[in-house]
Amino acid sequence: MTGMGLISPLGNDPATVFGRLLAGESGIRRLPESFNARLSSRIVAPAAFGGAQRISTARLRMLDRVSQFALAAAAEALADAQFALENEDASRIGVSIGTGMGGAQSTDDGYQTVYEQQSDRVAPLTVILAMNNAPASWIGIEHGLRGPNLTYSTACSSSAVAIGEAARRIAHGDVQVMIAGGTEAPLTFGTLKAWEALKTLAREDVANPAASCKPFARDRTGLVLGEGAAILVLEDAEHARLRGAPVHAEVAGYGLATDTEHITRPSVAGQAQAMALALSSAGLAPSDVGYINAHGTGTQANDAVETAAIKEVFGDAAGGCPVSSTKSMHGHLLGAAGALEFIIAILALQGRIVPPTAHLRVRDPECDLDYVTEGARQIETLTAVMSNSFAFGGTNAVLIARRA
Amino acid sequence: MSPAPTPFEFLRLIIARDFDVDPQLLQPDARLEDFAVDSLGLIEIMFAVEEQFHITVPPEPPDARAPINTLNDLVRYIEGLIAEQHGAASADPVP
Repeated sequence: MTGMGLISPLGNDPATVFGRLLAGESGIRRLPESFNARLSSRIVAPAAFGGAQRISTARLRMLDRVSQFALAAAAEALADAQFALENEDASRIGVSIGTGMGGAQSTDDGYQTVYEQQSDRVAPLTVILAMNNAPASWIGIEHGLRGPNLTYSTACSSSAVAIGEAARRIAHGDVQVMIAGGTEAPLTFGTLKAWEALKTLAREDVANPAASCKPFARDRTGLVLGEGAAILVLEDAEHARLRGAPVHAEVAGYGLATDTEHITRPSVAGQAQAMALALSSAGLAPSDVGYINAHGTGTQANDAVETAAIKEVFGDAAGGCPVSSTKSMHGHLLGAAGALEFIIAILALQGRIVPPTAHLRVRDPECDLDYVTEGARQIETLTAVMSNSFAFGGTNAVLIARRA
Repeated sequence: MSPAPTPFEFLRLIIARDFDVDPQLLQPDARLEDFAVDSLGLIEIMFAVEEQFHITVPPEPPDARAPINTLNDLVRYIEGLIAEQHGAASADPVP
């Protein structure tokens, strides 16, 4: 992995985001009444992002917010990788992006026109703005990347899948480089209403709205929706070496396994299988993993099941492995969550310091691992890290990074 | 109150705004492709034109009748639609 770029509720560059995570700062806040008074759940994690500062006016009008995030993060990632595209064979560079909801705002706007305004004047580019593969396509167009251009939509594991599949594609020799990651912009009225109806969103912590997401805590009430994008440059190791690229980490393992018991309720077996497969594909034992960035959504169902799954796979090593859910601070970025959290895990690996789980005062008795509650923790021996991404629909994806 | 813009004035306005073009460059003989106004761009422009001049753009592509290369070609096409649908080549919006 030679480059990374972020747009997130905690900032738009990796160093800033990681610094705030280590300090336990939250990007979660309450939406003003003016957003829409009919929302009963107004706690979200928005990204401070102005597309107009980064993207030309002529291009901007063709981009939903979800594609704007992706283009901005991809440009950052390519710059970080010190990539000179003119020196590359563009047919051997691909794009692999995860998104759950695609151009949600454009879809919302279209429905509003048709149903609320009773108008037939739907904006002419609605289809192009809203389609799920628009973010990946625009990255390909912007940088002239003619290799495979793929979009994965497996809900909350979309971008972990996009990264894992991209790494496989490189390992298979199809391509030399993949721009991989995820993007999501779900903070629209219609989308928020749909999530509200599912009764999985966190209730507001009235004393401190920024602390509304409480993974692994006894008083956790649900997840907080966030927005942003996280994009990585994945590169064949030899290709990176030949061009003298800075290497952040090695994508060492990827495991994919599916729950089939229920459309939303997670299962220990599926999550455990994905972790075990990731470990075996990396050739690592559980005790080699020095940090797990948990899926840790803050829902009743996820956190206890994930804890049990970690214990099943890690056995005696489970208690000694620091586990944190940074969703407590950046919220749940759905299709971008896996990529953001994998980048965070890699930053932990690089800095030999892991971010805490914030807002965890009294743990759920069923959640009995080491959740790094005291604040950031220095771990000099960190050599490999794991990032878990589990999803509605049951697609569990686990990524492992190793020191390069 | 300023008079309603003519088709030419209106096109200049929205192409300058949406395609980020210096209005001075948008002369009648300016070529649309030089400003990245492609087939999709034309669809967006005609969507705005429909609202402004209260006309309906027919389903066939604008260049089905005559080629549309320059800004003036597009002005003539719009004036034709206004004349057909409102009986005169008037630029005034119909109430």
